[in-house]
Amino acid sequence: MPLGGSLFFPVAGTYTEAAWRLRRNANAPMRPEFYTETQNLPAVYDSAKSITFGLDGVLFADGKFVGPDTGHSFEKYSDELAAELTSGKAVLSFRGQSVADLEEHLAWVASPPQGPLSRYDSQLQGLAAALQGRMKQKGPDAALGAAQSFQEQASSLPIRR
Amino acid sequence: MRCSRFAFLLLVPGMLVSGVSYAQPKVVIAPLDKSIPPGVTILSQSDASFEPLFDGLVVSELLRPLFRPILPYSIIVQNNSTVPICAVDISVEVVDAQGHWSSWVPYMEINS
Repeated sequence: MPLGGSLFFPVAGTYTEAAWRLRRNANAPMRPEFYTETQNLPAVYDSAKSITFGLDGVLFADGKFVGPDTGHSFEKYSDELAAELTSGKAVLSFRGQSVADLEEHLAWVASPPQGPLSRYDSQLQGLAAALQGRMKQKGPDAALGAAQSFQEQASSLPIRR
Repeated sequence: MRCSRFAFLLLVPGMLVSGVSYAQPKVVIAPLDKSIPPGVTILSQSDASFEPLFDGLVVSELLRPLFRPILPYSIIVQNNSTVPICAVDISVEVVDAQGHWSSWVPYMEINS
């Protein structure tokens, strides 16, 4: 959110999702399910006794995180950014090497190991899968470009409390 | 004169049946944590600047009516601080008519 910007948070997730899509594209059509999903929602909130909103966390573009953080978002953002940095660096190290090596690396990271994954490992896996998809669709240069973006985004946001 | 009195008598039971008689839920904005800079604010529909901001955020006049029923239960977060914001987490707690609590923390990441 830029300086002076604002953000609309309707109480219900279905509306929130729609509002975010409109933020990206002002004339984006609603999902077909939107109408049925929201049919009775206003009545649900009309009949509530009270609704309390709180600002639980804010992550600024300089990496500063503030707020009571009852939802433990600081850890979540930290894991996501760390995974982006690791994934980006690892993939970029294959620059100039064979495409087969890069494919093998992505396949290894993206393949689910046995047992539960930490959030960080899940993130790494998801990023590798996304890069695999990009590579299949648009080629190795596109995957390397995306990895560069991961690395730059994570490097530019030194998250801290 | 008689007609208008009669209409009033019809109107009140009609409101009760249609659910218009519901007391509006109390919408509360929790006090902001001291760590949050003063430039970051939350607006509810009772704030004068809410509606103009909503019109700016949902630009399409065709789509705005879809959100109107939920506007009393919506907020707008404004960033008048000195740094762009990448992500915001809003917590919502609802006490329903039976007195049960439910709470959740929607999360959205924003590219500044």
